[in-house]
Amino acid sequence: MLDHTRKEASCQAEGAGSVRELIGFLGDRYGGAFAAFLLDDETCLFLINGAATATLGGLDAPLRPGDEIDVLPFVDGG
Amino acid sequence: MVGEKFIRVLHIDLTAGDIRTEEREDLMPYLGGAGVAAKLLQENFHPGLAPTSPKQPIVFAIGAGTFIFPVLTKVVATFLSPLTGEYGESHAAGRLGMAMLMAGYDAIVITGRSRKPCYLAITDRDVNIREANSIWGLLSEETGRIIRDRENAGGRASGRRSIIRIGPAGENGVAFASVNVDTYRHFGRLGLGAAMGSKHLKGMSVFGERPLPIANPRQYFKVYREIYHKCVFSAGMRKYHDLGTPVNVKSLNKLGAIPTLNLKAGRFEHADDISGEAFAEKNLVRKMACAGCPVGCIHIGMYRHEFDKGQEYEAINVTYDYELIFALGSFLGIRSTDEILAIIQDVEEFGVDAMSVGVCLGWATEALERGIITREQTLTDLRFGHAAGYIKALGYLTRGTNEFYRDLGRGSRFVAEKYGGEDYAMQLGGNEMTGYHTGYAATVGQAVGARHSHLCNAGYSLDQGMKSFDEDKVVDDLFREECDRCMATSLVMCLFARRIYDDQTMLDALGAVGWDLTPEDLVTIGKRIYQTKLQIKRALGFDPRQVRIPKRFFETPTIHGVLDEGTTYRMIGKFADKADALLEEDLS
Ligand code: SF4
Repeated sequence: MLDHTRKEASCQAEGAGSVRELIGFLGDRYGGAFAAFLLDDETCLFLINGAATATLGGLDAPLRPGDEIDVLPFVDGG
Repeated sequence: MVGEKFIRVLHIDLTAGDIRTEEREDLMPYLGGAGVAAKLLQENFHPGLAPTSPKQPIVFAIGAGTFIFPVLTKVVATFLSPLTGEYGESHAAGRLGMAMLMAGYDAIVITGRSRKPCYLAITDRDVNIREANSIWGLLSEETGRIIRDRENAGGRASGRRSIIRIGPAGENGVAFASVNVDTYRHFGRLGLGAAMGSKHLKGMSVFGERPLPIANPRQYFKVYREIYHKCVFSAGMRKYHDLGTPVNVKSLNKLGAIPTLNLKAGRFEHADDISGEAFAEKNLVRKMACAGCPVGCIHIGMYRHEFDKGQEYEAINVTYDYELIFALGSFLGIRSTDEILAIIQDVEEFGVDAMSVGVCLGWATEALERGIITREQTLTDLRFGHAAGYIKALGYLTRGTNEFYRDLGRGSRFVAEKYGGEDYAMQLGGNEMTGYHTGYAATVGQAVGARHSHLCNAGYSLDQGMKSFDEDKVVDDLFREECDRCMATSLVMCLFARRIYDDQTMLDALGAVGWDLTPEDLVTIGKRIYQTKLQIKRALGFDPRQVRIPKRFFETPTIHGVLDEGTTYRMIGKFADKADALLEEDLS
């Protein structure tokens, strides 16, 4: 993930009303390949203030000003 | 057999010393791997006898594409589980798949019990039952070294032979004893080590130099290149090479889904200290791959071991994975990478399943805290965060030092039924829990899964991916994934590559080595294999509706919050209905 963001581990995003819009913002900032990477269903997980979007409506989960979003690798085992 | 219309099966009867092969056209509808191994188990098992009875079989099977395509590396072992008393299935790679293929055997069926300790030496030229008196009782690594020296085919076998072996735990009948495969891989779960030990079978060496006919070389190379490219360059696979599965530690901790202190919690305050990043920084010395895998997810860590007083040290290399870090780390409150590696080292040498032993020790720690068991029984202080106590306990458990440790060696369900503390003996269907307390799908999935593993139907993956919770959809998805994975593991795929091998890729790959199958065939094969497993489970008396889930699963929050008991059991009932319906289907 950090390869896409040129090693930036965090940033501020303004005006994103949902996780999907946030991904759009990140795509503008770090490139379309990063947005595509984030949109892949089983590559990344998003937490909104520590809660998984799995319980909040997925990518359409609403965001409010001040929310903190974690982007984590999807957890897999084999 | 690749390029043939039959499955070649090697039968070895250790009681009589009989060895024979058969070429079975009728097994082709099971493709290979899990399908063939389940079918051969069904043909040879005895439902009325104990899992460790000499008559019970152990089966190893490679798949329809083993070693021919990238990441189709695994061998499936089936047996009756000494831990759960029902269907046992475990997967491992290393070099075993390649070696069986080159030796010319799709499957090996072992029955009987040798009068004296023995090991098997299998090549493409002959099969021998060799005496193992002198290595019985030895630790896993030394056993491997001795068999390696003896079975070197005049030096030709180096790097191409596979050696599997059990440690003292398997010899002593610890119900969750494992089998070490080529030092860094394992048949870990459900007690194959105890099944081998009950046959006085210490190990097996496999080596061959057979040529491999490819039906359609042009298509083969095209398909191979495409799959290889996806394996090496996709982000989903790269993470396995970079940090390996320990990359999960931080994510699961953030999610509150990493089982901690016997699942009293889903977050571990020292998670960063035992994360994939921490291991990489402090201990990682090498990465390796199974034969036929371009990913190379095996991470080897080194730690300094003081083997005697007076500055006497040695450097120990051991492999680490997420499952071991959770079971021997957060679950027991161990907060340093070095201590986890030290515990793993003994787990390796004694030959026990890391997940089962960690979870059993978690129960024992809490049972001691609560006064259900005593210090006189545990013989050492079992305290969360106290590695030295756990290392001592591992030795007691492996040797069966007293009645308590012999009981603990029968698994957490057994020991809790006898001593109490069933609410916090963290097993599902008799198999100790895995490292994903993610939600309904993970809990239901392991409870009903054919081998009670997170890998049966990947419920933990469903829990992360769903957008909202719909219990019927979750049950449907679990059931479909269970069937699909039966198909995938008949190839036999390392499940890390599950997303690389979509249906079309599987069809292309199989087509290049002579199988003419349709998408519908893939579905039918998956269902046929799962039906076979269900038939075995039913013959052994397993009824998913009878599964009882320890209370703690309903107390510690998951990523979907605290699980509701009624919903969970309702979902198990719905899954059982689907299983019943599958049993009625005609899939012959
Ligand atoms: S991904 Fe890892 S476990 Fe799977 S085949 Fe490759 S090296 Fe072996």
